[in-house]
Amino acid sequence: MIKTLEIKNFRCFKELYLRELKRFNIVVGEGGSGKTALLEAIFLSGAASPEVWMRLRQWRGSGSTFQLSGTRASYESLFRDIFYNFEKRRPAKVEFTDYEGKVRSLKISYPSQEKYSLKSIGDRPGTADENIFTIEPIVFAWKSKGKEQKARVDVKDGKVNFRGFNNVYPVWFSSPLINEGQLVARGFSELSLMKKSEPLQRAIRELYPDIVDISVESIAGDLAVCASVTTLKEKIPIGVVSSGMTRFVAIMVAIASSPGGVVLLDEFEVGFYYETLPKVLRAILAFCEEQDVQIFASTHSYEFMQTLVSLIKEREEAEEDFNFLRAERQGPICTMKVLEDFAAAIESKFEVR
Amino acid sequence: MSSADSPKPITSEFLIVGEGGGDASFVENLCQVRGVPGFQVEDARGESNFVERVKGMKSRKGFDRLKGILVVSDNDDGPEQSFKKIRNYLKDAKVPFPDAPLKAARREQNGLAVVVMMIPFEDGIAHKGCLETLLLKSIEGHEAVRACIDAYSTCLGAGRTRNQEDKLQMRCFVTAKYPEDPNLSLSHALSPSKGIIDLGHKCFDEIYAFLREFPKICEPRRNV
Repeated sequence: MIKTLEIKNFRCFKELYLRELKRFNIVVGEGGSGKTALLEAIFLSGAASPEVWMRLRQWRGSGSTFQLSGTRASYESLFRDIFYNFEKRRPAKVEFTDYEGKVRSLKISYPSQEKYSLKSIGDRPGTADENIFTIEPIVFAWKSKGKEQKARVDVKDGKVNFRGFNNVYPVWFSSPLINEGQLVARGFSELSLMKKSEPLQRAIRELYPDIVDISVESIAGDLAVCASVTTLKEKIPIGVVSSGMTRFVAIMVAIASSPGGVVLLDEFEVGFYYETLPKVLRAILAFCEEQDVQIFASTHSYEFMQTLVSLIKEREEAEEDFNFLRAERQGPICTMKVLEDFAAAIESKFEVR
Repeated sequence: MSSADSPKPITSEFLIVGEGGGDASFVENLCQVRGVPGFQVEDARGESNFVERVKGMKSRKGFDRLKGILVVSDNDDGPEQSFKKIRNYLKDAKVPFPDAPLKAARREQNGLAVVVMMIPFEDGIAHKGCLETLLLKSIEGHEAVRACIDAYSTCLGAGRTRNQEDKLQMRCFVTAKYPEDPNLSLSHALSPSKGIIDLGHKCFDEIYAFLREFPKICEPRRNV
């Protein structure tokens, strides 16, 4: 479980230090205040390959395919928004320490000693010397257990190549903005193969009594998590049953797949009907404790926070498991404010977001 | 959640928290009538909610912009005990708590100033009573109604505390002056649009003067 987190020169964070993180860390704040960037920093630092950065770009709407024109600017455009204020000469750093004192860090930089020649392609065929560009490739350097592993992002024939590092920290990123159906189906299937899906099945049945069973099926070649519903004679993809159930299963698969790790939930509340929120949250909180999973969740929803506070009050001893943060933006700089007496603020119906 | 219940951020540098709705409405309307700008005025919704509301305020959006909080409460039948009660509430809510009414308390030199105003007071000295005690002083021009209220009060007999007596008389005055709604609450009766209470009356001058000076009281202390 992550106890402290330090971010430097990453996205909108010039410098951020968070201490005493808890099992449940809830982040509120205006759009563009750095909530998702915080989740991305944790996701990247736990990852094992720069490929994760390309996934984040895609989730942020940059598209899954790209073609480099062969210039240094074209290459660097893939990574420019990693760096605070686009200051690529200063490395971006994310470092966290867990409750056992173990440190893991990620440094993203353009080391000037690592020159690299890039032959132009596309509309500028690389036939002449002037079309050979010398670039400094970006390097993702993860450090864990005292060992550093660098992964350089190379480009060959307009395609990006990554090398990885096999020491990962179990982190799962779930967002309603990502089409994560295939990922969830694969995750569920892996749990099922290892006979570890039962706690998840149980939680789903408790929340949705009409569901008899959840399984992964192949539908026209695509994997889909399907539900066996008492009122229907055939199994049905959960996405067809309800968006709330889809989101719930995605979150539960994320938790079940990351024991002892971290689950990052962007816009937690999206998809859930307000009346089901208490049950949904109760099930998720209990499952996190069972699986020893730490949560970082962003939200815009006041109903979500009210529900959470009522659950905290219900389980008096649990208040110390929660940490509430508000992302705030002042000009280009994002910061995080730890919200004291959050429950009292919500009960007084104060605006905290 | 209705729009009336919608959570609101802090948008001013100075926040006035009335212990009850009447206190809040009085200060808000006084500021409006006398042209004292820059305050956000709110109601702590009574004694039972006071600590939670002040505690929760620290998480509230816009809290960091605050330079000063003014808490307004009644002296009731014991000015000293009533002030101590408010002081203890502030302590429980983990915000700075002053040693005396109308004095600023701060944790840090440039930090948030918290001031408590206990009403009624005259020449800075607290007196027994409540908001209604003060408001009754403003009804000088209504001798006929006043005479009726006094007669009614006498008819009801003794046995009420000063606070109860003043609340009874003010209730009668509001009811007499606003026949359209005899149940009109004091909070609404304070609105200038109702024409019931003259907030321009001289009995409010000292509070007005204090409110005008409040931003200066909250200014960061400078080392001499």
